[in-house]
Amino acid sequence: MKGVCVGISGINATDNPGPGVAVARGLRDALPGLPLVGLSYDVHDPGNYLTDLFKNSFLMPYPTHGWTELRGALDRVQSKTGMNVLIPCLDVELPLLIRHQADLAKRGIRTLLPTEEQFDLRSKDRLAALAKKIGCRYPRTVVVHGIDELLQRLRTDMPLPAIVKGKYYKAYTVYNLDAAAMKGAEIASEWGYPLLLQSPVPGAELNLMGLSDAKGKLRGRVVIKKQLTTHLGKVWTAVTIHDPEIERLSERFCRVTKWRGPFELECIRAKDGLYLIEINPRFPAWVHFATGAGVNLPRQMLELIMDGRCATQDEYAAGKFCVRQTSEFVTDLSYFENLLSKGNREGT
Amino acid sequence: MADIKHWNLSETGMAFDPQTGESFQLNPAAKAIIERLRRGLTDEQIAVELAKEFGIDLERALRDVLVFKAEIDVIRSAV
Repeated sequence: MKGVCVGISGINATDNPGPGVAVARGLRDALPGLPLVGLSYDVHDPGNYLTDLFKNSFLMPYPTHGWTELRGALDRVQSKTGMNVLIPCLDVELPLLIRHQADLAKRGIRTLLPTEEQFDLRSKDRLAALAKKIGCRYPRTVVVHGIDELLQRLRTDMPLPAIVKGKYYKAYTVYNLDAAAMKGAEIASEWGYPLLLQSPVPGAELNLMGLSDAKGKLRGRVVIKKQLTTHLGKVWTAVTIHDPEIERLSERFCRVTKWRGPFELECIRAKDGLYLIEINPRFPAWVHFATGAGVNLPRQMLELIMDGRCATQDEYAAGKFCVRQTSEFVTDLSYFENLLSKGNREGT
Repeated sequence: MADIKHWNLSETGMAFDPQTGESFQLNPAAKAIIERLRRGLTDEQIAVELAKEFGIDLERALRDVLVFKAEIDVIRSAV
């Protein structure tokens, strides 16, 4: 794939990892010479220092700073690297990029993003309606706009234990009102309101990662069952499975929403059937599990972006065991200095 | 009876259900029963073979087969 340079965000491969490094690894596996550029929001993101993976890495302004600032930063990255494809990997940056994807295209930066309407359909405060539309159970959920309201609902019609969720990130199971108030305030201070209160559903956690083309046709998928998770519920070990119900659900999701790009369905297999818990509008951090199992969705996505088509890839073996690991490496302090002083690792 | 036709069975007696992701460590008797169920043998035929292989009487072998099948159903319904 000549003349292509891919910018990838979400390169925070930390204890709460973004998907960016895993997306880059998938592309590197498939296309060893492909130039990749890291786009980071924190000088400490480990992906900034993965010199074997990213030819350079750039500090970006937070999406909350607005389009003018982000556009300027992307222009600078483009002029220094020739970046002409962008794979955003974080929920919070998507609304801005979706709104301005025509501007990105005009600047020669290709993307495959959901529409604004598609993005909103799967937001946590509207997911109950979408679950109904695609024929899946959804746990009882209420939206609250403050801690007083949260406590009031827990005292009246939402029994404990309950799950307190942020609109974008984080979820905690709480067993008493004090913990509910504390965790609710913690999430709101970071991600704002509204919060969601959800009844827990006991069962096995199943996740499906998929890729839908611009016409709502599923072009690839892998299903895992989580075996071990971190305290934030992030997968640590998992096993690939074939669950016909979640597989059919993914097809309905693509068909009904005409979804564009990667997505993840988070579900629970309960005694009375499958429950939809969340839909993420991007690759999940475990995307390299799928690549290892034989379904390289980042490569598929790049083909869709560049050629407008790709072969369907959903054949994989059930029973592949996926293990996340932590590791350390030593690098040069000059990279850190360059990121701080010049905004990019190579100091260009 | 749970659908065990599609289970992956390893030499060491590990059974993996590719639909649910559940794994089970089987003892030699359980492994012997599952292998025979997958070959389509009846409970009585399995009991005859089990009695020979493990040196136990036929009545006990048949009871083991039925109890094991019931346990598998309980495990499957709990997943």
